[in-house]
Amino acid sequence: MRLFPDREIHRSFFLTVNNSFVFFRNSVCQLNSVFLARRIRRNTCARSFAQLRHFCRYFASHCSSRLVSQRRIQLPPPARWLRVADALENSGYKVTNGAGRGPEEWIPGPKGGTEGGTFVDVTAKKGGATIRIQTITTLADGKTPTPAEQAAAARIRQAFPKDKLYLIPKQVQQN
Amino acid sequence: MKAIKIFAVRSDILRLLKTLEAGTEIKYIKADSSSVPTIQQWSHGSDLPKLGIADGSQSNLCQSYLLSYPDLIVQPRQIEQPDGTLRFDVDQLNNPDSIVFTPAGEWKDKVILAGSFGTASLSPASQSLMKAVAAAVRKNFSKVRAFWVGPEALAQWKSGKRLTIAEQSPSVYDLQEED
Repeated sequence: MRLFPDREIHRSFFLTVNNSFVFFRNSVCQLNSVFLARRIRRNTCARSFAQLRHFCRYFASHCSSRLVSQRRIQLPPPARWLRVADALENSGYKVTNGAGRGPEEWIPGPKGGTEGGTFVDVTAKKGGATIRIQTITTLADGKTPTPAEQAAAARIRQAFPKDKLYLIPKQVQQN
Repeated sequence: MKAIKIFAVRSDILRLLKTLEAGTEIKYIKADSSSVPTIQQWSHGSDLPKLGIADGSQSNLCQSYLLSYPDLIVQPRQIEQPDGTLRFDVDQLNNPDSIVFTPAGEWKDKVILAGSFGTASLSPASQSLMKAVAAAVRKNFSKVRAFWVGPEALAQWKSGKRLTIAEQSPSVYDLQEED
C-alpha cells in the first residue's frame, strides 16, 4: 500500500528535517541526505507522517553514539530482502545476517577501520559455505552497477575471496 | 544502536558477560536451525559451550546466541525445506526483543576472529540490551579503530596474532595499529 507518491514522501522528509534543523545539523556530517532520502522513500512509502517524524527523531537521537557502526539508521528490512532471504531458507540456507534475522554483516575498511567499510544486505550459510547477496542500483541499462555499487562489491569480494557474492539489480527485485 | 564489533578470547568474553550479568538479568538462547523446535538456553555466559573458540574460519560460520531478558518466550520460525521436511530457526525475526551475540574468538590458534553484538530490531527491549552491552564493553574493552578489543586479545595481538574477520581475508583487513 502506498499512501503517498514518492515525490511527496521525499518532500515530507525534507520538511521534517527543516522543522528540526538544529537537531539534525550536528548529526548531518555522517548523513548522506540523498542516500537517506532514497532509503526512506524505499522503505517508508506506507508510513504516515507521524511515523516518519518518529523515525527522524529516532535517527537523530542515535547519531551521537560512538559505538554505533557507520550506518546510523535502522529501518524494517525492505520487502525485497525478505523475499531473497525466504527463497534462500526454502533452499536449505540459514540466513545469518540481514533481512530482519539479525544485524547486517559489516565488513571493515582497510586496517580494520570504519572508513571504507561495507554492509552486506543478506548473508547466508549452508554447510561450511557462505554466500552474500547484495541488491544493487544499476545504470540506465538495468545491468551495470553504479560506480558506488561496483566499489562495494569489489570490497566484499576482496574481503572474502573464496565465498560467493551475488548482485541483484533492485529493479529486478521490485518486479 | 545497531552493532558492536569485538575481538575477544574466552577470558575477555567471560569478564564482559560477568559485568553485563551483574547489571541486569539476561538469558542466552542458541540461535540455531534444527529439525525439531528445540530451544537451548542458559542463564550464565560461563555455561555457554566452547565460548571463545570459533566454530568456523569466519565470524559468519560461528555459533550465535540471542541475548534477551529472562521473560522472553522464544518463538522458533518454521521453514519448509526442498525435501518437504520442516526446519525450525531461532533468530531475531520472531524474537525482536533480543539481540544477537556472536562471540567467535580463537580459530586454530592462528587468528582471533571478530565477534559482535548486534540487532536488527528497534524494540525498546532490544535497544535497552544493546545499551547495557555497550556500557559493559566500554568498561572492559579498548577501542582500536572500528573494533573493541578485550585485554587478553589485545595482548595476543601485540605479540603478533592476527585479529581479522576471516581466515581467508587478505591481511589488509586485519586489525592494525592506529597511525
